[in-house]
Amino acid sequence: MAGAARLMAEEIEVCFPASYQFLYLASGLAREVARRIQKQGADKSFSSDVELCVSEACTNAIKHGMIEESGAKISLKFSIHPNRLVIRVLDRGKGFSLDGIEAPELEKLPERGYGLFIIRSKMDHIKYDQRQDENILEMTRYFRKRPGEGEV
Amino acid sequence: MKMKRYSRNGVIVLKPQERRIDASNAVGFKESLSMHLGDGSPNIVINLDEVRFIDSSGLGVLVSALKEIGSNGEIKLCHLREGVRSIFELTRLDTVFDLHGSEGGAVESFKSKQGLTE
Repeated sequence: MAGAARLMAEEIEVCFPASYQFLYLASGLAREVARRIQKQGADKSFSSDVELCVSEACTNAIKHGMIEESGAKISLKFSIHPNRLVIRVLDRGKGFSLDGIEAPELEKLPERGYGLFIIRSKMDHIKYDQRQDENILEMTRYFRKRPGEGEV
Repeated sequence: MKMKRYSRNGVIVLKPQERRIDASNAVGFKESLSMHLGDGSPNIVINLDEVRFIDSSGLGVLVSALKEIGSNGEIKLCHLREGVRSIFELTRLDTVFDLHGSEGGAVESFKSKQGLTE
């Protein structure tokens, strides 16, 4: 495997069929990428948080696009910056409006709707772009403050 | 989904035999739980010791099971690993489900409750 210093300079991108059967692959890769960052001082929950958010994001990409078993693909890209991990999940389904999804009313015990709530809670920043023929969910999680920087 | 089922001091224990519960096996998880909830056992312990990872799809199934059993019984969970417990805390489901560190503790808590009501 690449050493940590080498990994820090890399972007990692995979493409897999838009099927729930491949979620283990996407979130397993996320866990391994995040574990290597965690060894350099990210907080204890970093890898499990990243694994969880990638699973949620890929589930959403498959579910909202209703593209499972249609031969469509999901692209997953990890960009490792000196102080943050940026994860992009790209699909070509119908997509959804990030603003149109309200936070679940937890006290009412919903059976659905936890996914984006979890991503919003665990990530420092999320952005959703709908372009001509693709949707990109971008999630950023900081693992280190820059010198002289306060809260990130 | 593969699920062990056994009785311990009159309490039914269900133990999913999966390391991950996500959208790929949530339907199977729901069907397995419904089958066991439907056999008339009021007191259920779900032992999550084998489960290393659960996401919102798995949580949804557990919430659904809780609603299904309603006032006819009670579901308690035990052996939640750190990452699993963390998602329960984030979604505040740790205040809804009765969580226990050990299977024995979860089973005994039914007995304590019965004792109080006798």
